[in-house]
Amino acid sequence: MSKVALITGGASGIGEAIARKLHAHKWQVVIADLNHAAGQLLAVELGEGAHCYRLDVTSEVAWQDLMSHLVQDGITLDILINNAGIGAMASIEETDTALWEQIMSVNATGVFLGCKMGLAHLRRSESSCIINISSALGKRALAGTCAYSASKAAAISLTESTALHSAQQGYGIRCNAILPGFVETPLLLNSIAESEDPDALKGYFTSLHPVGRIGKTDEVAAAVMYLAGDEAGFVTGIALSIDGGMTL
Amino acid sequence: MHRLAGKTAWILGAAGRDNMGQVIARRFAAEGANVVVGGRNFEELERIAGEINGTAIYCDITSMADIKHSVSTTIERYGTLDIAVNSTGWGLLTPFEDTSEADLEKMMALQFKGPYQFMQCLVGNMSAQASIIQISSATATILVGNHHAYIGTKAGIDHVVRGVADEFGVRGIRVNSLSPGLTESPMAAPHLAVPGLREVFLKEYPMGRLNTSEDVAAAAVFLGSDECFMTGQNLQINGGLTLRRNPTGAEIEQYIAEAAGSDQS
Repeated sequence: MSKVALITGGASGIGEAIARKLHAHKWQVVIADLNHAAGQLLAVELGEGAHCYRLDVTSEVAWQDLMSHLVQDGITLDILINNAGIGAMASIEETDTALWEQIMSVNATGVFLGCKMGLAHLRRSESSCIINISSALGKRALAGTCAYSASKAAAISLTESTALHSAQQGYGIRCNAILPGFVETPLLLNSIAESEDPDALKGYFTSLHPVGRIGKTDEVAAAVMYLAGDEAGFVTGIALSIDGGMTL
Repeated sequence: MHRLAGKTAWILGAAGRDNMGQVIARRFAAEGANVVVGGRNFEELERIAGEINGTAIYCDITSMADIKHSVSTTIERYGTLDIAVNSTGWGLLTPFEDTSEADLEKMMALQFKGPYQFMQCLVGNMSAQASIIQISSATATILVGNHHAYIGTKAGIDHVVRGVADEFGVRGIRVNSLSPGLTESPMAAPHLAVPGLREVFLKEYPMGRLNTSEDVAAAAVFLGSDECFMTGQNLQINGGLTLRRNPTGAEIEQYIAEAAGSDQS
C-alpha cells in the first residue's frame, strides 16, 4: 500500500516540488493550499493518487474540517509536511505589529497546529512522520528578516518538543525540520526580476551560499524523501540544513 | 535502487568484520557504486572487497603517504573519486586525569591529524560533484564521561569540516559529518556486554533503541547522492539522543552495580 503525504502550501514552489517528487515515487499526495484553484490544477495534472483540499493553516477550525473531510474520503495520512509559509523583507524598525502577527500566524502558529494535528491524526507507525519546512534564516537571521527568522526559529523549536513528546508517548511519529537556504522558487525569481537591480540581488543571494549557487526546489524535495523514508527511521528532532553551506 | 550508480567511493575504516565501515561499503555497493575499502587489516579488507566486488587498499589514516597512495590508486583504477567516507576511530575510555601523553598523541593522530590530512589530500583530487563524509559522534555535541580525548577530537574535526565545506563548496565538494549515538557495532560490543550498560544508555534514547550501522549507511547514501544540497553540517542520526544527554557517570555505576547485584541474587 502506498504511503499518503499531506503537503501544506503544496500548490506551488517548494511544496509543489515535494508533491511532484513524492507522487513520482508512487506516494499518494494530498495538496492542501489556500490557493485551491492552483492546487486543483496540480492534482489533476498528477492524476491518480493526487488530491487537493483548501486549507488556511492559521485556522484550527480549518484544520479540523480538513481532517474530517479526509476521514470521510477514506484517506489516512502517514506523513504531514508543514510547508506553507509567507515572508517579507523587513527589519525590526520596518516591521509593525500587523506584519509580525501575519507572519507568525502562518509560519509559527500554522506549524504549531500542523504538528498538533499530525500527532492526533497520522497513522501511528514507524514510518509516520511530520516534516516542518523551516529556513536557514531560522538558524541565522539577516537584518531584514526580523519576523520571518523569528517565525522559522519557532518552527525549529516546535520540531524538537514535538519529536520528544511523540517519542515519550510511544506514538512512533518522528518529527524533523528542513532548513533550506534561498531556493529558486517562482516567488524568489519574480522578486529578483522585479527588483531595481536584478543582477546585483541575484549575486547577493548567490554570495550567501559557499557552493556558489542558490538551491533548487527539487533538492528540498530530496531531503523530504530521505526524512520521510523508512531509512531515516532513527532520525527525529533534527534541523536538516539543505543550504549549500549558507549557515556556516 | 541504484542511487550511487556510476560513482566511485572510498570507505576508510572498513577492515573490521561487520563494522560500520563495512556496513557502509556493502550499502554503497548495493547502490551501484564502485567501492574501495581501506584500513589496516589487509586480509579482512580483501575479504570484504571480494564480497562486494570492490578493491582493497591498505591505509593507515595516520600516514599521509598511505592516504595519497589510496587516492591515486583509486583514481587510476576507476578514473574518478566521488565519495570518501572516514569511518575510523578509537573509542578510548579513560578518566581525564589519567589520560597519558602517549594515548593523547595517539588519539590526536587517529582522530584529528588523520582526518585533517584525509580531507587535505581529497579536496585537490575529487570530482566536481564530490562528497566527503566524516563519521563523527553524538558525543561531539553532548557529553559522556571518561571519553574526553575522543569527544574533543571528534568535535574539533567537525569544526574543520565546516571550514573545508565553506572553502571548497565552489569546487563542487560537499563535506559533512554524521553523528550516530551508541551503535550496535563490533566497537561497542565489549561495552554493551557489561550487564546494566545497555539499559542505562537506552533510557536516554527517545526512540527506545540504540543506533545501528544501517542508520548511518542510509544517511551516507543521502549525503553521497547528487540530489543532496547539504554541506558543512553535522547530521544527527541518533534517535533524538542529542535533544537530551548521555547518562552520568554516577548513573552508569549505579546500573552496573544493580545489574551485578541482581545477577548474584
